[in-house]
Amino acid sequence: MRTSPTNPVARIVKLSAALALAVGSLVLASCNSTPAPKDTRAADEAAIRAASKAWSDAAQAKDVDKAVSFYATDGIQLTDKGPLVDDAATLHAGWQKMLALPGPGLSLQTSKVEVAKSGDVAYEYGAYDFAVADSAGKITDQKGKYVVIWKKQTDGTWKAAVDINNTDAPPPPAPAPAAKPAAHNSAKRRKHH
Amino acid sequence: MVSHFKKALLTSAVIAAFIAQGCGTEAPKDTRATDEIAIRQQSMAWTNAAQSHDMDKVLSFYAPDAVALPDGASIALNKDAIRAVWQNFIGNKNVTLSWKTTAVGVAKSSDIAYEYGAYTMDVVGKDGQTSTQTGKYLLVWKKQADGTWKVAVDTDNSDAPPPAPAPPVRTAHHAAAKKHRRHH
Repeated sequence: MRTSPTNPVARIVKLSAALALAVGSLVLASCNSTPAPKDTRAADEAAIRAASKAWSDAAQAKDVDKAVSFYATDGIQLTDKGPLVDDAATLHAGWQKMLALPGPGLSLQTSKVEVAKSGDVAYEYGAYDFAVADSAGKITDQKGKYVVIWKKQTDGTWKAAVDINNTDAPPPPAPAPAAKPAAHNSAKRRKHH
Repeated sequence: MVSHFKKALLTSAVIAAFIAQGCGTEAPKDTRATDEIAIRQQSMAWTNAAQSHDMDKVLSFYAPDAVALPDGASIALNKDAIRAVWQNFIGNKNVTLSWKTTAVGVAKSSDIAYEYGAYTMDVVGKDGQTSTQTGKYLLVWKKQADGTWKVAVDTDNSDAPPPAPAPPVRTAHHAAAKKHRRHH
């Protein structure tokens, strides 16, 4: 079939090309105005480090309510020498007991924070120092490590979704009267999975 | 003429739809469901490697820049240190470690994920008796350039210690305090 300026087919082709260009550029323009989500990782890391510092300060101030406020509503704690705690009341009770112990108490020092590109999930790990006074007022520092999974909440704040910690020092040998085989004891100490 | 215009409109709509489709591929795909499956499979393959005391295989699940924060020991900041942590019980056939995933969470961007779960460690003593310890673990997984998930951070702690053998009543308070001292 021949095409000429008066040919209806040629008219359709021309018109559709023009329209497609117009609509297509509009679509592309709106596409560019909603680019990939912004990379907020640097600001998120700063916010998490600030939250971790505030959490440590709350512990030092023995402020139980403030300390537990850093958990997400569905936040859990994998308690050292204890169970997985997934309810607010038990979480509160655990912190209350710990912060009631005499001495300066718990402080946290962030080692590393890394945020997912999407800015919804992050992790932090660091070192803790738990300074407890005995009845004579002598303070003993217990040192350990912690890892926190942080999640950005709908209001933009970061809260702890999962919290775990453990001690650096191996547990003291069992106070069993009979000496246990050395191999058994050293194996017992290695609880690392 | 009007019908021509309608045809043109239709054709242009089809072309515009194609353009829009190309635009749509710009948005990152949500791969969280498949990522979670991949991580659960990795964790299962890892525990199988641990149960067969295969050190090289066990270490292959860590990212090159992984750190381990083992219970009762200092942080392990490189592969050699991580190997040393594992050597204590992977090298001991009397110790069998296994674990089970409880939950996995993946970031929308699918570059970082976490997993936590429960572990069991069986130790066969000299008397042939098996004692069992249980605990919890938390892992941070990171998607590698080749698309596989590897462990970036690995930590764990034990559950409640076994009850002390017949403790005198007056030390009960002390034992309770001890139990909570390490709570962070």
